[in-house]
Amino acid sequence: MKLPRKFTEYAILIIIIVTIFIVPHFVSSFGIHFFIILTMYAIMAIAWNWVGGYAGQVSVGHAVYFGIGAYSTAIVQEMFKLNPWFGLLTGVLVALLFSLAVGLPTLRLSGRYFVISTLAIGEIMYSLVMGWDFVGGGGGIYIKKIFYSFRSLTFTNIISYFYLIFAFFLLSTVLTIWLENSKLGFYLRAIKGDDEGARALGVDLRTNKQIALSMSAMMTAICGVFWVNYASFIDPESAFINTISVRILLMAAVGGTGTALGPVLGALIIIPLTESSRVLFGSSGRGLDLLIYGFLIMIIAVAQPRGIMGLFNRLSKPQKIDQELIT
Amino acid sequence: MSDVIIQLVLSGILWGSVYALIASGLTLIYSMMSIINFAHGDLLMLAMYFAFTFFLKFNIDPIYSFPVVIILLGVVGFIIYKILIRRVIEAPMFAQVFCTFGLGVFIQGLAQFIWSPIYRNIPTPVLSGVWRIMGISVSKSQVITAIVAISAALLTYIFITKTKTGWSMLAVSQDSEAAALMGIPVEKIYSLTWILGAALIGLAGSFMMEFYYVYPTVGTVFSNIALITIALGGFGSIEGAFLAGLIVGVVESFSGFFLPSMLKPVIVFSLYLVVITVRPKGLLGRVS
Repeated sequence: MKLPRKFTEYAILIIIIVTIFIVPHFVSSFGIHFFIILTMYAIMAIAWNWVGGYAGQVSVGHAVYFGIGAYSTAIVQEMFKLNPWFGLLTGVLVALLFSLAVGLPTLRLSGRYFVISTLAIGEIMYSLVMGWDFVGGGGGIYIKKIFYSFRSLTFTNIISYFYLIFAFFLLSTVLTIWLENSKLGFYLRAIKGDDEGARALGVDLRTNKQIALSMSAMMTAICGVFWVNYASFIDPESAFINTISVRILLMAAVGGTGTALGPVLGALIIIPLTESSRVLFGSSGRGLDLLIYGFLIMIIAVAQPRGIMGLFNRLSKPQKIDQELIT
Repeated sequence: MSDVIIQLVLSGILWGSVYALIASGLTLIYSMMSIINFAHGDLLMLAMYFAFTFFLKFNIDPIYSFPVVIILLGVVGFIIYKILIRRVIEAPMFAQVFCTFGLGVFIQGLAQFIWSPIYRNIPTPVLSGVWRIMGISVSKSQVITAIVAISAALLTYIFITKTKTGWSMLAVSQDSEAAALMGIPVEKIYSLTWILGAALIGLAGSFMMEFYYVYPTVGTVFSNIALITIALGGFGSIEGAFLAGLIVGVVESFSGFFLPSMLKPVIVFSLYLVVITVRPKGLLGRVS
């Protein structure tokens, strides 16, 4: 039964790839901007899923890594006038170091205490950057674009930005497929299923969780680096605010955590929903967008608590369900 | 200097008792059904808006309208349980997290729709002004709120530990299936938990309207503090949440005095990380 499931996953992936390569030639620059946001959030949902879905370490403060990537790059580029590629490297490295510092005390906590610690770290970073005058405090940092070339990661046409973020999307997808089939992936699922049992079988809980967290942190930081070079501006409200964390979490949740395709599906549902309802109803300032958004999340939580992928798995793997009922 | 310290401790305890009251509803719901209600702060916001509306439409101050707000919030809690929570009680923890997140977003949207995103407060609350005792000044509204908060938390504690219904709640919290076999109506106990949890937040919201302002996302701030509080106290421990609320209040008061106000949350949330490093189950958490 394993093959058909893989087959559908790859088939849908191919459809996504084809669509995304063709679509930019048909739509306006606003449309491409939308696709850039969609792809960027899809990457963050995929990265969240590595630690939240496979390893079961639910993070409600994942925006910190986005913010750390964005801010380290902005500092390196704007304060030290270095090349954006160097900024990318710095962003990823700082995210790695930060995830190690965060992982050390928090990854040994049990589920709900870990959830609250990610919330705490998110709030701490938001307040720190808000109060840090060197990086502009609440005012943020503007990035001056001087050169427009691949060498400096800045482009004049928006399509190039789309292809850049899409390349990162492909990277994250490849990493996910690798993770699904690697030893690490099996360890993580074992830890999620029964951490004591996994430990008894000789799985190193801390190291495996740490690898998942650091991978996730670095990938999310790449999105931050991309965003700061694309938008030329970063402030605490657009980097560390918990709305971003919640959105990342919800995409993975709606699509289905612990599945390769779930976060992508979630992004395809949540981002058009939030962006379109914001455009259609957000301008009224009456919160209709929030009403629709919140209502749909509740519906999905009640009707399909394992996300959309739960539905697929139920359709393609009837035997699995029977086993679950027996045990 | 000692005057300053007494002042800081006192104002910390005053805010801390408000945090403790907010957290008591959250910890009650958590200890009964292991659901972390991420929409808890948004219920507080709703309570504040109810109190504000009574003032705006009928010119009734929150200290007179609070019984009605408590009842209204109880009804809201009942509806939330019956329509939403009952359906995710068997779902994975993660589905419960994002379900209550969705609920919070929905309530925020509702508040923005009804009351608009403008910051509102009650310009002439009944409890205004300060009391001065030996060089220490305390706001009247906050003292009354603290007294109300502490009495409410005590009453809840007595209700749970001393009454028959409370015992049923304790039984359900320990093992809902065994409790059901003993003839305890689990479904009714769960409804009661949500009514009680929401009613406590109704009380907190009413009295906070005396000295605080309300806007659709005000809940997020208090929700985060309440979550930190119940985790700091130890999940499932009602006494722990109360103690942690007071500690958070005092720490916040001191850091607000010695550091720029921007860094206040940094100290409070770092406190959680430090405590959790030493005691992974919180201050009074049960080791399961």
